[in-house]
Amino acid sequence: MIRRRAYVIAGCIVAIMAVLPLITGDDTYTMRLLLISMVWGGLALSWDLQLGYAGVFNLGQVGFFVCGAYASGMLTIYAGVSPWLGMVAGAAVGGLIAVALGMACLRLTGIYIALLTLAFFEVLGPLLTVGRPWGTGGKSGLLPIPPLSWGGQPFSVYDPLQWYYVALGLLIVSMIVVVVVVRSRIGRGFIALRDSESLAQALGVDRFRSSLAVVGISGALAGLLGAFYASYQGVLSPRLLGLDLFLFLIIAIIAGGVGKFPGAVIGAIAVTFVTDSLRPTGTYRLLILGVLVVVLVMFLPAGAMGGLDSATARIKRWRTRRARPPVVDVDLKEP
Amino acid sequence: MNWRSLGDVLISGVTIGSVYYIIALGFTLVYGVGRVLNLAYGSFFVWGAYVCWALTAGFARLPVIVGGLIAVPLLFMLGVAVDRGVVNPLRKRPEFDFSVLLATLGLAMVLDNLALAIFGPRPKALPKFGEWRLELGGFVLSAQALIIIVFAGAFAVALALFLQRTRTGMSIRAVAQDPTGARIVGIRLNRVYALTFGLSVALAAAGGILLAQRFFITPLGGWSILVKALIIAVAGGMGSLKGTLVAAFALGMLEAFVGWQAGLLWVMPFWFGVLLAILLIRPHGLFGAAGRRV
Repeated sequence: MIRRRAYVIAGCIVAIMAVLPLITGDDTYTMRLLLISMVWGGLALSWDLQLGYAGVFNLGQVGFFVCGAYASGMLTIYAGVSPWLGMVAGAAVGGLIAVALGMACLRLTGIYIALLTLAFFEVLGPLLTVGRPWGTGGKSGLLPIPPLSWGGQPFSVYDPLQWYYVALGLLIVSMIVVVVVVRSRIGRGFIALRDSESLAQALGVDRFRSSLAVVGISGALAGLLGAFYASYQGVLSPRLLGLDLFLFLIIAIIAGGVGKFPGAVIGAIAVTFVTDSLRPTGTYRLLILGVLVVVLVMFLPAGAMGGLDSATARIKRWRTRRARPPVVDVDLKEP
Repeated sequence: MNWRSLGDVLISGVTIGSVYYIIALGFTLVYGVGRVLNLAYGSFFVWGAYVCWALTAGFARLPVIVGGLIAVPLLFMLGVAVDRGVVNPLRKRPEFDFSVLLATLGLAMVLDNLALAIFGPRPKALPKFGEWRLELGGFVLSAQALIIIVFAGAFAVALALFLQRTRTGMSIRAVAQDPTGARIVGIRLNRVYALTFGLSVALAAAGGILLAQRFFITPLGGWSILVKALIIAVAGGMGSLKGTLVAAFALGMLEAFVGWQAGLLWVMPFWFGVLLAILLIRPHGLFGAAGRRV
């Protein structure tokens, strides 16, 4: 379920992101930070579609992202495909791998899904490293991946403005896909399954097929974003599969609110800037982030969007209490 | 094929298999009893080795076996504290599974980076148990391999006896079978949960100390162990002790062979392939039955 308020917030995020370059356009560093926060926002959103709405404990989302990135990178380098087509290919590969992995594990219960997808995530790095003879670039990475181009003119490496608006477009695409899926028959099926599993199944909601569809769609989104990332960075390495990005996205999702559109995007933008400001703390940065995760899970499990919900609920209660006429307390008992 | 190196590979497979067995045992125990999927498990593994290192080579110069025997109870207490402080408060939540996954993930980050801050990124080597070796008809059995196998076996037997014969062990199994029923007959659930978590962390730490005889200790070394523990646990059938035993030795042997023939980088892809093959044929693992726990 998505409240009307959530659409307003999502619209505001897009609007703010669209006009921000007018203010920060000259500051390349901030622009790049904003840009990458939108990519992570889209990825976190696609992940949250599984974690928060479908209840699929997929821990391998970064793997789909990397698969899409490598597919597009290798196609553009070796086959000379246009990077725009590479993005389509990235989405296709991300979706296909997600569906294949989903077929293997989605019939199992939640925890097994978490284990298998985590194993997939952990195994992908070594595979890409040993895949050097097949053109994955090995440990040193895959490069140089050609940049996107418009009208025969490749995007500038030094000025991120063109990249920025493509990233914004991808963020909007991610948001639309998530909203459409949640509001579709599949999304309503998941709400029914959550409320009453047996009744929903008796009515013909198939958990396996719905989960597979959601995992496939969100894997394709991740692959699309990965392909964009590949072209933007120009270089890919298995280091993307390290814990940094994985934990970063998890924190973004928790901070924004699990299963609360568009919380994941807010979380991703906020966490991008928080981790950037923590840069001077060096080695302690991840330590601080870890403490943040534990504290958030223990004390603010619903995240920013959940906090907003309970705050407005509290204000509403307070208002109705004030609006009510004063209750005259009549003591019927005689002293 | 060289028969002598084949013998070495077999010994190596049994050695790592026995350590993987106790590591996977701790992982599957805490899941079977408390439904806790502990993503910080690998970090406890690393911390066990680091504490032992600090007690022996690092700061106090104790013999390595004494260091290990002090480190494991220390980690047990850390485990109890973590259960009381972080995991137990989440137990009342409806989405406990997911919350505990995230909380232990955060905990793993804290533990790993604390290790990095205290001990630094340089790999550490634990002193060896001994330098002598046994020669049996051409095969060489080193002191480390022998002591690893003996200690891992002792831990496994002690745990099995504890679970089967003692009252506390029986109460742990009762909680695994039916928490509500166990509570009705007067078992204090919170105590059993904390004890199990502590035991599981102690097993991880013991595994960490034993494996540090063969590999260096690094702050992020626990993640591959976490994945290995869960692959073993799932392949054998989550909660099945017999399955865990078979899977641990089979996969330990596979690791030794793949490492010998193709290189250590191929180990994880092979493990993953075996896991997928097993799950396609038996979705609940080799010896796991649908819906059964411990």
